[in-house]
Amino acid sequence: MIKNSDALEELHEAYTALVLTYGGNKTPDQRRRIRYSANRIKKEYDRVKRRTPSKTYADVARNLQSAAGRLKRIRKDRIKMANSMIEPTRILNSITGVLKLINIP
Amino acid sequence: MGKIQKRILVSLIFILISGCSFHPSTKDVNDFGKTAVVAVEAVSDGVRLANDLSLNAAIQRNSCKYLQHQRFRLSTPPDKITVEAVAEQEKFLIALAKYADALSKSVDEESVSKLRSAAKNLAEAIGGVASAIPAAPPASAVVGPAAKVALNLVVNISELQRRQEIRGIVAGVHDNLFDGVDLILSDAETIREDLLESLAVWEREVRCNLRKSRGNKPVAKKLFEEFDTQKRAYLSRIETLDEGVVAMAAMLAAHKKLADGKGDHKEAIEQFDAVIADLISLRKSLSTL
Repeated sequence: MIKNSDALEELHEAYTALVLTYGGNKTPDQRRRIRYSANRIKKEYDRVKRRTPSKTYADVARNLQSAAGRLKRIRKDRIKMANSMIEPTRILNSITGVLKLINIP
Repeated sequence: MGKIQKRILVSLIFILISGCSFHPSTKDVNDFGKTAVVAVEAVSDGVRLANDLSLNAAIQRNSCKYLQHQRFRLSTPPDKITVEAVAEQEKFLIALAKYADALSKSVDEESVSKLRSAAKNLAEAIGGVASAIPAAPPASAVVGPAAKVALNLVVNISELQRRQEIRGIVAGVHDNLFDGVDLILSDAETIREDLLESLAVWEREVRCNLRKSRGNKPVAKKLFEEFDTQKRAYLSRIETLDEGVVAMAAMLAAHKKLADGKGDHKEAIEQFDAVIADLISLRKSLSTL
């Protein structure tokens, strides 16, 4: 039996392989066929995945924007962590300085 | 040893030695970024072309009015863009460019190495304090290296967690990106037809200018050749728009690789994901520095 995940892989692969041939000197009829088949494959992909595709560019853009926002937070988190180490480093270095002073015979 | 403890131990060792093999790697993300830039650039030429044609048609219309001794306008505003789909597409293209940029920044080497050097400095500071205490040797000699290992671990765990989050975001957004590419493909012919129509409008105005300038042969010939060249250029740009669709497919394939994880290491990554959950508590206790 074919697993859904395998089917999705195949459908995705078929879609990109097909659309990669869209350029060059295609006749209008060839282009129409590629579009038709690719759209069908995409529909099947969504059906197997049981998802409702975004119908407008604005919807797609919105989702991409929210993903970009979350990615920016991840970068900030990393920088925050680096900054959180700076202050203890400073304190420890000054303690070392003091200790060395005390230890002078 | 319990099952979870064993898993933690195995992954701790793994994390310590795998500090530089995070996924998605900066290189993979940059590869995707390049395909995104190419795709956005190629498709957005449709937007530019629609703008060019509408502005140029307006200019030609006014220049023809001028030649016919009619009321004319300088610095003409462009005609209303009739290619609606390109205006809609632009939102998607801008969002895609921003997303690719945020993705590449989320794994940029600079912030990672900043974190690493902060951890290294802290470890050295800890070692420094230990070695400055005269009563403590020989144990003090171990404190520095031990702190280094511990902080490396903290950094690696935190970074693995971040990459895991990034993978989650990439995988979560992939189908959405797929929708966008399918919309671009579906609209390709409508946009081509609309642009050809805008080109015909432009040509009508150009022809008016050509007719009116026939009186002066050298000028007329020069104008004719100019417009001929320009029409060729417009036509070839319209033809090239299909390459934008192809570039979108290439971008989608590159993004799929990012969303899936690297082929060979996929299993290792999945294993990682399972243990990282166990390690979050450890990271929390270690990172309250």
